[in-house]
Parts: sequence; structure tokens; C-alpha cells
Amino acid sequence: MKHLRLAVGLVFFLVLLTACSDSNDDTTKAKQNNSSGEQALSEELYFFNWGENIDPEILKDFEKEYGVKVVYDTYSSNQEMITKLSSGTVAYDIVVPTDYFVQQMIQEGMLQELNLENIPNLENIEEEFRDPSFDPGNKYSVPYLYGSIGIVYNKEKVETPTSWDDLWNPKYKNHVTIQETPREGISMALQKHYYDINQPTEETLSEAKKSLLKIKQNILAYDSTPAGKLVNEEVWISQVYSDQAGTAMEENNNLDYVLPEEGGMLWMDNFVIPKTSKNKYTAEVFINYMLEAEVSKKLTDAIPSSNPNAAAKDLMSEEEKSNHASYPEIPEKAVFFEYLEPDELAKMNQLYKNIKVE
Amino acid sequence: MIRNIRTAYLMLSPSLVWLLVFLVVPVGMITVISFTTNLGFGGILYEFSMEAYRLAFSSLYAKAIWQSLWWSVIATVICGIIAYPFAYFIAHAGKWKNFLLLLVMVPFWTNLLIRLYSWIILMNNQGVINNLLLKIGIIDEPITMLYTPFAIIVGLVYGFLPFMILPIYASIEQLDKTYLEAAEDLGANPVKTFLTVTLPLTFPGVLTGTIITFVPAISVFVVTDLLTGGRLLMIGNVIRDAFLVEMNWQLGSAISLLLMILVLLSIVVLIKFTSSDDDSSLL
Repeated sequence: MKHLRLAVGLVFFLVLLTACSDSNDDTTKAKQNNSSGEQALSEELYFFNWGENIDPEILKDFEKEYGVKVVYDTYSSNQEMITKLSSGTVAYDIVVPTDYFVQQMIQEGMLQELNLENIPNLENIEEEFRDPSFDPGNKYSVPYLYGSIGIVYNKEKVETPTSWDDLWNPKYKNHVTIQETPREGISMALQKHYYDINQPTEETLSEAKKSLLKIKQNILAYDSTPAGKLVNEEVWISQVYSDQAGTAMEENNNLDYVLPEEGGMLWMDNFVIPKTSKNKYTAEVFINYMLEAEVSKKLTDAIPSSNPNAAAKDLMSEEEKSNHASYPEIPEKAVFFEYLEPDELAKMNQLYKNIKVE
Repeated sequence: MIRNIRTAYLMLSPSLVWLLVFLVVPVGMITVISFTTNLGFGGILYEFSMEAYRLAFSSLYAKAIWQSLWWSVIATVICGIIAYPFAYFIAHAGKWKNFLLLLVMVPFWTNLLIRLYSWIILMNNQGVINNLLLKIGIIDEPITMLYTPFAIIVGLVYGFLPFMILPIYASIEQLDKTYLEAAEDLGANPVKTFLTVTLPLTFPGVLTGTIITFVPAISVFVVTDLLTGGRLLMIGNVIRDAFLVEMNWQLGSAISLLLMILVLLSIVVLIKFTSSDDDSSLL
């Protein structure tokens, strides 16, 4: 019995080996095609990205050009991504955390420093998006896409809003949605009072709570993806992510998007390479490829987020560049979310739930 | 003898393995996790802590459990009121019986999520029902149905009605008709026959239906998410958020366990209060 098992195991192993060496031949070819780098490209690249955050064509193009197979998986929250990454089931080469999660992953030692020599296209990124507060000097991260959280409104039903305060207008009773996620919702209430959304204190949070209890009468739903409700006009004014606004505005011309005078919030998704990655060089080549002007333009043709790539923006038509959802006027006061300690976030989570049951 | 026992265990083994893998192991895991320490962002530190239970016993979650209990009890009662005559009718429908049963089960071929979306289209302010009523001229303003408690009841009753119909149907179907004839022969009118013979004899079906309607109804979260716009805090949503949004597995596990205990207790109470001394047909 033992011998039989051993034999079966050996045969299986041999088959695996030959399979591997076969594909090795492919990559040597690929390497010759791309003789500029001294380091070798790997056979496969494990890319873990947000759902609906890419044009699949781009991955195919990259596979053709570089002979690297891209294994693509998606997640629906930063937390989910970090949980799966720490579980270690797959050694992903590239993941795409949002701004303050980059900061957190750096702090927890989850990321590898980038070799920016392999990513010369970083030049293409607009000046103002390089060297971000969550990763000074782009040591660990490269901007992928960005967007904002602001106000989408129906021009026919609502006077042009200028401030978060407009969502509290009693005239819009039952026609308002705000974010379902606690931090986003509470940050809006904080910003309404011009408090710092990244330094919540007992007092500012209790003010925010009062405001959120007041807006409850206006709220139709706590919804992070209200595009459908905006399109069929049951919602008139809403706190949304800009890409939801973009999606809704494509379907209904009465809708427009604006950042409030309090500033609104900004977010940025970024390429990073986890410590566990075994194909760092290939990952850097891929990131560089994604920053090429045409590739980057193709990306934002397919999805509604905003493009931080100046070279790609040069390729866009005036109409594309004047899309309010993708390229709104960004007030001076607009802020990125920053890292908050788990217990501070826990406090916010409790607060939001308390608002719902009260 | 020994052999027989062995065969019995062998025959049982698939279901025992099933129970072990899908019931005992997961429940064991959440029990263990609920007593560990939360590292923030989803990490588990295997150090004993009661923190999750301290949180779980706060008034916030008591309110959420109370709300869930309230709506699921109402939904279960309405399901019972609709389902009994329905099942009675099917059981006496002669050659149409199988066809009608099929109609009860057809909705199960589609995912609940998708069926709830169609309720959104129906109950929306600009939806099918409101548009129809507006066109006929019965109403001038659309009636707000979606995002109200009414919508939860509709969603829960609609989603779980078949769970109530099928067991009641089964018990009515199995009812020995000679009892009814005997009642008639002894001079009972139809109403009296129904109340003193049919209803008590089919009660186990009602009880089973009540349990398998109530248990999923109390913890379901898609219904509240979709039909109330997340405005109500139900215990199913709380558990899901604890795992997926707050990354607090300890809290999620602790609340799940407490909910499980609560549900078991209410079933025990239900059975104690409803079963007569010699009626042990269910348990």
C-alpha cells in the first residue's frame, strides 16, 4: 500500500515538474522579447483589486505584451483585503488599498518598499497627487485612481446645494440618503460643524451625533450605493462617493455633483506590493505599465473614478474632463481620511448603530 | 447485536459527519472566537477576554434583538393565519393538489435576493403598485410603502410563507378522515368538527411551521437591508456588520451565540406551552 501511494505521488510530482518547465520556456521567450530589464519576469502575477475596478482588456493586453499570466481576484472592502492577505492563502503581488489603509499596512510592516527606478511612469501622475500624506515620498505606494465624497443632487427638485447643511433641509424629507458605513456618515456630520474628521473627540462626536439624529427624519435610506434610487428620482439629494454619482449621472441628466463648501472628503486607491509577494520586479513592471498614458486613459474610460494621471488626462476630450463627478472643483478644505486607532473606529461604529435604534 | 449497532452507526455516518462538519465545528469555532481578544482590524489574539460579551450585553444590542423578535413574531403569526386556510384548501383540492404544491415551491427556484428586488420595483413610490393606483385615480399621492415597517412584514411573510404552508399541509393531508366522519356521525357541525378535531390533530404541523418560519425570520438581514434602507437595526444586520464592516469577529460570534441560545429557549417555551401531556410527537 505504502509503495503504491509513493509511486502515485511521484508520478504526480513528475507531471507537475514537466508542466512547470514547459511554461518556463514561455517566459524565457517573454524575457527575450523584453530585454530591457536585467531581472526576469515571473510566469504569473497575482493581482488583488477592488471589484469592478478595472477594464479586463487591460489585463489581456499586458499578458500579450509581457507573457505574464495575470491571476485576478477581487474584494469589496479594505478590511476584507487585509484579512485575506493576512490569512496567507494566496501570496498576492499587488493589492490596491485606499489611502489610510496604506498607512496602516506600512505601520504593520505588511508592505515592501518600491524600487521607483522600475516605475519611471510615476512622472505621469499629477504633481498634487504625488508624495501623499499617507505615504510621504511614495516609498510604498503609487496612485491608481481617486475620487471624492460629496453631494449629488437632482437639479429639478433641489436648489443647488453648497453645503452639507443642505441635506438637513426639511423640504427634502424622505428624499435623502447618506452613507451606510459609520465613518463616512459621521465624518459628514463632523465636517458640517467644521470639525476635523481625522481627530474626533468626545465633544465633536456628540455634536455629530445630535446632527445625525436630526437628519434621521429626512433620511430615506442609509445607502452606500444609491445610484439606482437617484436615477429613478426617489432620492433628490445624497451623500455619495463620486463614482456612484458618475454612474447615476450617466443615466439621468437631471443629476449633478458638487463638493460642499466644508470641503468634502477625498480618497485614493493605490498600488502596493505586500511583503509576501514573490514577484516584486514583475509587479513593478505591471504598475509601470498601468501608469502609461494610453493604458490609464483606457482604465478611466471603463470605470467612473477620477484619474490622477496627467498624461492620461491630456488624451481626454474636453467633455470628459468637464465631467463634474470625475473632476469636480475640489475645495481647499477637502481632506483625505487618515488612519484612526481601532478603538476610535469602534466608538464610531457604536455611535452609528445607536443613532439607528434611537 | 454488536454488528447491528455497527451497521446502524455506519448507516448514520453520512449525516453524523454532516452534523459534525457543518454544525458542531462552526459552533465550536464561534464559541472559542467569542472569548478571544480583538486585535483591531480582524486579527484574533488567542487570549481570554470577556470584552465581546460586555459589549454584547449593552442596551444597544438588546434593542436590536427586541426589534428582530418583534417583527419576526408578527411575521410568523401572519404567515400562520394565511398559511392554514391555504394549506387546508390545497389538501382538499383533489387532482389539483400536486400542481398547487408546485406553485408554492416555484419561488424557491429563484434566490430570495432577486425576489426582494422585484418587491422593490412593486412597492417603490414610482413603482408598479403606486403607478397603477395613480392611473386609476384611487390615490393622488403615491403611498410610501418601501422603507417602512410595512415593507419588512411584506418581505418576511413573502419570504417565509412556504415554510409555514408545507408542514401544515403535510399534517392536514395525513389527518385520518375517519375521525371527521365519526365527529359528523356523533352530531358535530362542521365548525365544531374543525375546532375540536381537525385543528388539534394538525397542531404539530402548525408548530413545526412556526419554528421553521420564526428561526430564519429573526436573523435574516437581506430583507431589512433591501426593503427598509438600513434604517432599522436588526440583529442579523448587526452580526453581519460585526464580521464584515467592523472586523470584530469576537463581537459577531458572541451575539450569534446569544441569539442561538435565545432562539433555542423560545422554541422550548413554545413547545412547553403548546403541547399537551401525552403529545410528544414533535420532540
